[in-house]
Amino acid sequence: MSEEKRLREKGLAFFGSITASFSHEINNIMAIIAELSGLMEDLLRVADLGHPPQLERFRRISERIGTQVKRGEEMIKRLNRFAHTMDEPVKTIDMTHLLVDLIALSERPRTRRRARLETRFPEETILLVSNPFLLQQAVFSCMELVLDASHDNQLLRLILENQDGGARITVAGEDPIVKTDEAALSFLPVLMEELGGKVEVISTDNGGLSLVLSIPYSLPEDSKKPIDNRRKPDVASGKSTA
Amino acid sequence: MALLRVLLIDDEEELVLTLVERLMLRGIEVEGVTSGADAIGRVQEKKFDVAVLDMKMPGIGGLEVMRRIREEQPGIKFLLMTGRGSLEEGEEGMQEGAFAYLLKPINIEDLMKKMMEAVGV
Repeated sequence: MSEEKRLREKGLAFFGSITASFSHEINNIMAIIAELSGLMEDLLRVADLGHPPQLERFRRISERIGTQVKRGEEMIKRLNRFAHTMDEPVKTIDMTHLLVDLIALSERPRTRRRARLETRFPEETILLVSNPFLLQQAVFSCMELVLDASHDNQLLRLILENQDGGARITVAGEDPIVKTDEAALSFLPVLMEELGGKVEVISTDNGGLSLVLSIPYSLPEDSKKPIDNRRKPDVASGKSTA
Repeated sequence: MALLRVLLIDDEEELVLTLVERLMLRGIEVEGVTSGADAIGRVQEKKFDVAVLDMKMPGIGGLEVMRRIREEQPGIKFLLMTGRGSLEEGEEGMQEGAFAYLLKPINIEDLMKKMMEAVGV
């Protein structure tokens, strides 16, 4: 499989994983709102039977609905921002904002494995001129690799630092490695090459997996072009042609 | 005496609280927990007729929770809750002997009906 095709397929898989996880969360919010509104109807039925309506209880239910609506709005905003990271292959990115969004987007895969997250971000703003979608995909892939490398319930560390005008992102697990997904690990350098950066695989003091991404301030010139989905595959050579 | 003793298991705490309130208004004796581990702990202490279980929860998966609850209480009936995108989990649960599965958002009257059918009331 050509690297471009692999990039496209992995990108789609990442997009699918995030949107599936988010639609599950939004469905949960809808279920809660449906139950809270059902509870109001139940209480109205009780009131119809001659019991005085419990206004304070209604007020609290209304507040609970409001909380869920706000939670849903926040999720939809994040999902919308995520979807728009595909619009432009190059843009100026505030790395802290990007990682905060990614942390929220990847909450379900993390909580499914009962992982705890510890973050360390610099006080100064780190701005990169890069590809926001590929950046999120790279960090998300690191999180998945570290989480999959060990048992559930581990501590995951995410550290952002300034490095020579670019950024250095460390994703590290505390627990010793049980297994590594070699196929996913081998894809990270491909992704980082697109970003003009590199990945280092390091073992932590406890024998855990630590992945360090070094990302330059700006993308290499040949990575600034969008991946052209209209290219026809050249079956004989396995390459794509415009 | 309550109609049924129900254990409700879902990681969404607000959903658990609300469903518990609604089932109690219908005369059901119901307890809610937000994890598979808590559910397993609860069935070691108290008898339940029905477990209403969300299949997609962090930590111990729905099928494993079913098996471990059944080890403690072989006669308990399971009603599963699942999202539209996770129908296969509901089907797997049925193969493991669940009485029925319901799609979220669930309809409370459907849940009541299925619970009654499950225990033959």
